[in-house]
Amino acid sequence: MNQRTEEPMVFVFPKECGAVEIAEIRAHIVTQLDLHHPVKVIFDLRQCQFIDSSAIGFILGRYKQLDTWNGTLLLYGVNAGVSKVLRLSGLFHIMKIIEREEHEDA
Amino acid sequence: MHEVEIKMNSVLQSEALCRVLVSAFLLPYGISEEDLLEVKTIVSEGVCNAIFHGCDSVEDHFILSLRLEGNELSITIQDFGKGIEDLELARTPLYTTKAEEERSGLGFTIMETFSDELWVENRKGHGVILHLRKVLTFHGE
Repeated sequence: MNQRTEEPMVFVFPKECGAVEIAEIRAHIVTQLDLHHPVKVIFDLRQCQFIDSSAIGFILGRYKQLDTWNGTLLLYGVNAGVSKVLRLSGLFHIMKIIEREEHEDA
Repeated sequence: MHEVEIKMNSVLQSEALCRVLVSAFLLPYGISEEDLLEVKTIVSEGVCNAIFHGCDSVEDHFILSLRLEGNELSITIQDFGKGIEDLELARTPLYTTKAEEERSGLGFTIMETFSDELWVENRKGHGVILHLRKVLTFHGE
């Protein structure tokens, strides 16, 4: 059985988060989550200028993955352009967006 | 009037190339950052649909066409797959035939939201031609 990790795990997303970029980061993130079962995960989107439905599907998939052990997924550093796309998905209804101060306390 | 047409095979890198292509195509015209982002997103979604649903192997290809006339951009994405079995269902938000691949089913929703007009030529057994139109805003307007 995996030990739950209390320290928040942070993953920094690249500038562009389309299908090919998500494919490149998918295996690493899924594996790390499965290995460590973190209580809290933060997706750092500060560098992210572009996001599409591939990324939304990936984020939702990780939300569900974490939910299997009652983990929490937070989105950090969402800019206006990325926010517009995320809003279409309804992600804001199920996922918390955090600001800088909250992330430093996480 | 300015237009470009490019044929690519159905690998994910082609989707990334299309984002760069549309940015380069629009660069000389000084369109707003907001419009550029929306156009990139539209193209990305349409091309992903062609790759994931309209192509069966990396040997298959699709065609992206861009045409700018005044402030009106026309985008066409054509694949040569089997077409869409139920177009109305496919356009339903969150509907996907590839849930196991973590596809979100939001492609059409995003394209419809960010474009001014979208229509689909669904040629069952022969593929799909996706047509989009967007009126652009230029810097200073």
